[in-house]
Amino acid sequence: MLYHLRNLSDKELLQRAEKHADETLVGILLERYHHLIAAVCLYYCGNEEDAEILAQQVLRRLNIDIQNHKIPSLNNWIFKVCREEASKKDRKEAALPPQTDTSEDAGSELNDDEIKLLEAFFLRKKPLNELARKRKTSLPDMITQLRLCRQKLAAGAPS
Amino acid sequence: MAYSQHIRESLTNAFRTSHCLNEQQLTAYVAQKLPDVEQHLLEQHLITCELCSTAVEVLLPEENRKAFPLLSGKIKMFIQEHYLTSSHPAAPPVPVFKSKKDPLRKERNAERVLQYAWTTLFLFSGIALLFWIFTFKETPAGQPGESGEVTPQLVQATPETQPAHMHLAEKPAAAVAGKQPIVPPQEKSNQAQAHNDPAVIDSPARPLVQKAVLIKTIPGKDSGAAAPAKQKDSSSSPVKATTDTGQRKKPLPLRTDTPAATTAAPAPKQAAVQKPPEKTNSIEKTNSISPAEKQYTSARQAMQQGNWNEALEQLKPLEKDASSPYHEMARYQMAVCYKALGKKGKARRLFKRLISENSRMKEEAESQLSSL
Repeated sequence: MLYHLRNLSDKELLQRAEKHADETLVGILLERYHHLIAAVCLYYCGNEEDAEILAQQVLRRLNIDIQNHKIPSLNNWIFKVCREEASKKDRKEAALPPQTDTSEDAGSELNDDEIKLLEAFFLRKKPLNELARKRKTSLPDMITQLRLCRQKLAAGAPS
Repeated sequence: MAYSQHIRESLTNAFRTSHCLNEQQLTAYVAQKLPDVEQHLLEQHLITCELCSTAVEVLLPEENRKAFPLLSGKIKMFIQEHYLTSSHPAAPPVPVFKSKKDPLRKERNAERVLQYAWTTLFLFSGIALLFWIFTFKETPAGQPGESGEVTPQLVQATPETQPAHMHLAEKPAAAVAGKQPIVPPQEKSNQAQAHNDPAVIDSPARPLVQKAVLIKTIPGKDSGAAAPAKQKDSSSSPVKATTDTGQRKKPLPLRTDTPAATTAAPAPKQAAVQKPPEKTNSIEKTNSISPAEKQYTSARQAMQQGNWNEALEQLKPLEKDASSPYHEMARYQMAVCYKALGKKGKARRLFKRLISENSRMKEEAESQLSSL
């Protein structure tokens, strides 16, 4: 039974979990994302013990949410829950990264540097590490920059 | 703008949805152990997914990379204990495809049940029809003593306007050759008269059923009507041939009809084995047939027709009567009947008894016992 359910997609499992209020289905979904939850909790807490407690709270919250909400994208939902639970418990508030508001830049057009970055990554398929080294930034910053460029690209696309 | 448009056409991959990194991919990417193609695909996903990019960011420091597997294992255990165990109270069974298949299954089951029911009904009706046909055919012919008791259908079958012996004379001999004629006692007693009737001599052989009709419908012509049948019987029936010859008083000649021959060989084969009848002797001896011999003969005929139970009933009194010359023969034939009926235990017991008593049927009994 579990083997059969494990072959279902996230979307299918989410629909069934919401329809039948089945914790087994929730468990299968959470099992798929457990390593990412662990990593994000570790990111917000900074140590293993607190991260474990936070992860348990996140799991309980996700169990409720999955059975009661229509979730369009589970990975984004998990990230949002992790962030909310971390801020709720006031764990390592200072360690929380500032929320980058990308809405201001989303409407603007791509500049030449961003175009070159997009071209290097998507067309020439340069690895992120190499791009970060060339631009003398970190990998997370490189990912953030590319994300912004992508959003601009999507905003400029004809509807 | 024009350049961004050009890029936009080439960047369809940037907006494709992809799955999040699994645990192996995550650790391999952080350790930079992935091939270039797979690494680029994962990086494309990292740009779109905050969860995965955060996870990658966490695992970049060496300290977190060491603590991560333990924490991940603990969380996995927690999930399995609280959500994936069957003992969890809030885990109702998930109806996977069951609700859709149930009506189909019910319909199929109902169809199967109907098919079985109809098949068994047809089989039983067919068996009953066959049984009725065989019993209808065998009832008058299987009991020699009751040859005078004719069913109404058989009586009606003979036209009243036509003489019985003329009607019967039209029957071809070949049609009757496969059947086992039985000699009724009335015919045996009138055999001498029948033998002298020229019209009867020329008539072909016919089965006992027709003879019975003849006897019943024309009682005054018993001698004339029964004689043709007798004439035919003396030449076609092996049993009758043995009884009509001079060796009739000896039961041993009947041993030529071994059980294998009675069960497997048809009547024509037996007719080929039989000796030519001696008319004068048969006429002289017919009047002195003992009841035991009659019974034994009728039992043998029943055996030839496959009526094993009937043959057993007729053989039992003969077998019990130790003074009868047919005592051992009857026992041997009873064993053969039991063997044919599948009662091997009884058959074996009787064969052994014949062997132990050193009877005349010892050799046959031994061969039968070895083949049992």
